[in-house]
Amino acid sequence: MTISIVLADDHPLTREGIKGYLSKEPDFEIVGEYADGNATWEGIRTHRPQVALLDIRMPGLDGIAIARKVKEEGIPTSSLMLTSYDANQYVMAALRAGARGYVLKTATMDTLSRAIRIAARGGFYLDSDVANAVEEGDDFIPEPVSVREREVLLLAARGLSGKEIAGKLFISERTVQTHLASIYDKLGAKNKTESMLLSLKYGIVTMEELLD
Amino acid sequence: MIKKRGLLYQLILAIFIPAFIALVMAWAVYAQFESTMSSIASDYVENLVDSVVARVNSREWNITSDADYMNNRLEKDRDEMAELLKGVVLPGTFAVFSRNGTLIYGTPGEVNLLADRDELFDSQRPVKIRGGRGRYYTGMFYPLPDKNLYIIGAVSWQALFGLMVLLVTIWPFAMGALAAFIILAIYLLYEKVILPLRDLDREIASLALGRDLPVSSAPEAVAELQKLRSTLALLAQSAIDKENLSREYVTDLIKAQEEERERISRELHDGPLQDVTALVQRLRILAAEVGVDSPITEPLNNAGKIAMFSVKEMREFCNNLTPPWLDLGLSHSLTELCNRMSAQFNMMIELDVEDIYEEDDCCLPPSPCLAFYRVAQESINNSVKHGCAKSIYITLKREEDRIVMRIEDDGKGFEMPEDIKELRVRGHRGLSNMSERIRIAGGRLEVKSTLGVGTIISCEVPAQRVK
Repeated sequence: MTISIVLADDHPLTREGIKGYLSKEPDFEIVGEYADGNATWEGIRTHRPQVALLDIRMPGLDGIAIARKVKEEGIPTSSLMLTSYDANQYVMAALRAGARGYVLKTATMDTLSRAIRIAARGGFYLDSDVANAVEEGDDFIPEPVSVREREVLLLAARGLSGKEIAGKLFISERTVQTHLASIYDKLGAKNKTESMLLSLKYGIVTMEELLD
Repeated sequence: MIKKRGLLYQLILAIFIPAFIALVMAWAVYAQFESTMSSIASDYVENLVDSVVARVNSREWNITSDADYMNNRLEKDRDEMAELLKGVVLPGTFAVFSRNGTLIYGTPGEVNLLADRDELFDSQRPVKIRGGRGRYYTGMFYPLPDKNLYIIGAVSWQALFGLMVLLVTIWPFAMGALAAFIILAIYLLYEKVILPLRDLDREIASLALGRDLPVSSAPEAVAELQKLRSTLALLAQSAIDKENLSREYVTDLIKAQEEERERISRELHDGPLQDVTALVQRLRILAAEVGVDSPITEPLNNAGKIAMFSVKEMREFCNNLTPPWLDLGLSHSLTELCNRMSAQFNMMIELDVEDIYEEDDCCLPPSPCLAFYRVAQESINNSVKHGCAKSIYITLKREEDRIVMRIEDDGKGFEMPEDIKELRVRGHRGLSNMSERIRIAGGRLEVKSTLGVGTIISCEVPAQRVK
């Protein structure tokens, strides 16, 4: 069973490189390649591919806007961001917009292939170069987080401040900080954003919960 | 300032007190003169009347009041009395009357006055009367009942004292006029000089050069003060113009700098960074094509690693110039910044974004967003490099119609001069630049630092709805 793919990147050389990667996988089929946002959107609407590899910065619509449109219009395409930006905030923005994964253009062929396969199944993939706190790689299994810690994490993910979380859960602000510190420790995260991304990656929370 | 203002009042007093003393003294002298002149005139009149009485008493008179006597004897008595009294000296005036009021003898000149006004001189003590047209007389009445005679003696002040009378008469008016004049002068001095001067002084004291413009006219003040005021207004205006010019200059400078940074960052990102990324991809494809066993696999992988290193370096370079994630808005930008700097310095940087701050609803236009970002960046750098802070706490929230950011550290702190600009003079441009950026964005920045406790930098800009 082949996986249909739309490729969007305004830089011809990197687009060629990605195409080179994809051509090594016999079950991948590129149904369209585009150099600007508006054409990409039209292509996705026409071809309704399983996976759309989207660059974030493109002329016309940017990748995040396209992912949002795909989600809003209910097109059964998994958006996978393929970009040069390594900022976690882009990952968050992409995920909020409905992307199913985030891969850097410098990712290895294996990584990209895996990401595409996971996204095609409706899963979620995060490049370890973006949330690379864990040296052990993708096989790392974190210590389970408690129910309370999970609650704190979800509220923090929705943008609530420490004080607000404390107020909502009827605990002290200090306790909130303790819970967060424990979560960071278990996941190997250095900050709130990273802990959110890693908890997503390890399936501790789902996208729907996180973006609720 | 208070001391100088006191001096101004002292000056007024210095004019007023001597003038007042002079008036009082003038009045005292006047009163003294008046009474002395009165007593001299009285003495004179008494002497005159005494001497007339003595002479009249030296002879026996048989003056009756019947008409027959009037016709026959009077002429003789008159002649005799004239003979007797002609030696009495002038400038006095006197008259001898029979009891029924017939004038028997009178000195030449103003006798008519005495005859007309004999009822005025009804006192046996000398009295002063007014004779019209500023003339004064002192006179007295002296009866000789056994001889059926009475005598009235008087002296004209003018004849006795000459010009002195005139002086004494106009003296009170002159003094009064002088007093009125002094009061008017002091009033004018107060109204036209001192009050406007005080206003001006107060205004200058509270004037912020480069920002305020003083009132340029003071119609009630003297011309010199008006001129001073308009000169001041001119100076203030030029200071404002200068300030505006330098503001525009700084704004342009910062804008040009940011634009240039953004351009370089973008070109680097879209050009070389993509090219080297493509190179990495080619090397990997090549490595995959030659297979794991080939002798060039390892050199290929090494080349790929070098290219990867270059990509990361360039990415870091772009992030430091103008981070692309600024597009995501302030709260995302600050989160990314804090995460990165926290990792870079291996310290705690906590960011609290209040729930009220809704990125979609209330959003900053790019320029204030960049200003906040740069302030946070510079502050964190300062806290670490100069303050040796262990932790930094940043809050971002919306307060009514403003967006407020507060950066608090637990560093060494420093002594904050009153004016941030002083720091620039001393070569510390960081804080001064931050303040400029926020000011250009239409907001303001405040720095509070306590030695040994830490530093708090707070800044705010008006919130604006975008779209």
